[in-house]
Amino acid sequence: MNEDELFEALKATLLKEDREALQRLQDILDQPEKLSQKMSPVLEERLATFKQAFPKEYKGIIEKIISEKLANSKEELLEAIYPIMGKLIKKYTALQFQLLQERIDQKLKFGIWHRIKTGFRSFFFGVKEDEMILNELMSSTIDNIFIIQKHSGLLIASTNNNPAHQDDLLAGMMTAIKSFAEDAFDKNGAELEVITYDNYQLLLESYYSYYFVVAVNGNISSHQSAVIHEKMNNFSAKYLSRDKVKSGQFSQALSINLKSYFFTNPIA
Amino acid sequence: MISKKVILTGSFGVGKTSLFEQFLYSKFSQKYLTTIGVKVDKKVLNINGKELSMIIWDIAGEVKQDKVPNSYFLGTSAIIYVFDVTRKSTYEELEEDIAHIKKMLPNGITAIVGNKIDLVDDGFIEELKQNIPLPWDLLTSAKTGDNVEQLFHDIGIKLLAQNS
Repeated sequence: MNEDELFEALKATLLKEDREALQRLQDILDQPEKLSQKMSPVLEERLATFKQAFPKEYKGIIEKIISEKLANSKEELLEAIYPIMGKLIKKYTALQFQLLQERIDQKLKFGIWHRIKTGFRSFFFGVKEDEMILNELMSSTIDNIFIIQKHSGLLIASTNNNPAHQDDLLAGMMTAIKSFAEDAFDKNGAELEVITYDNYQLLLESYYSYYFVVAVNGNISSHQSAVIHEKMNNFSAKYLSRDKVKSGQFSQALSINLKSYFFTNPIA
Repeated sequence: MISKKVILTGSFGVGKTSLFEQFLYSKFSQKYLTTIGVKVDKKVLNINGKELSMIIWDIAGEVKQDKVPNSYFLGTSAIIYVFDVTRKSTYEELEEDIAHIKKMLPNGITAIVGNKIDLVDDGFIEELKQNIPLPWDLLTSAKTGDNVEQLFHDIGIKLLAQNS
């Protein structure tokens, strides 16, 4: 036996126990089930301690981070909340629509001649009498839609392709009228929601840094109005953010989205 | 095209509306000015190859600027304050008015403009320089068109610089 072999034999004798222990450890590491058995109690204990200590140790830090984040993101938060507020308003509008429906039902009871006429038409066309009256009252079309930066009145997007309409001037003038009305009848930050003249209505939906105007030609029901407001909210949630309106510059891409969103899905 | 909101303000009868009327790209009926106190016009400029659309809010004349609804000032990039060089009452409150405007728009561009210079001579202008509370940026004439394009151009350059 030479010197190297002698040394190896000596190592094998002296390190036998260590090598076996190392092998056992290696086996545990190589087999996830065994590793899990060993580690789980330790991890669970650590996790329990962490859970217990977390509120005490990190409460102050987390609160500070959240309040800083809230303060820095105030405008984004408001932007996100506005569409939700719109939905609440929509529920109220739906209620008003129900009241209108009841009034029409009343009208049906008393308007005999009209009832005979619509009854005939209802019979031949298979449409409910009250729906027919509603349709008569509410044939309407959306002429144009604007998205306008709130205070400057600068036009962000519009569905009108005809430059002769000068939508940027209309946007400015509508903002001036809106500001005038809100200033003159200051009701704790209340915002102008509709402008009506003759057979024409401008429906307004205000958000934190911009507002929508939908110009409707013809009579419009509460239900249709609610649908339009819902569309404005949904469009806002999908396509708009504070950054997109911050510059106050007109966006062709947003205008295309606006047109396809409102005009390819007719109002119910 | 870059769009900016510009306010045209000052005391009544200083010639704000007539000063810009003939140069405006397009305009609304005058009746709006008396109805809601403002009318919106547009002036498109080409400055060094860049198109700038100035959406100009022509505000009905008030004796003092703090009478103008605050909401009209919001979102404004530049203010053109016009006074009549022939009527002292239109620039007596100049210092207070400009202070009010600066308070409303700390980062806005402000131009002080003396109008109706066609009605006075050089001697009068020299005398006015001594008596006016704040120096003007430009003197104009709505009647002859003197310096009106220059005024727009100067503001346009500042607005584009602000944007870059």
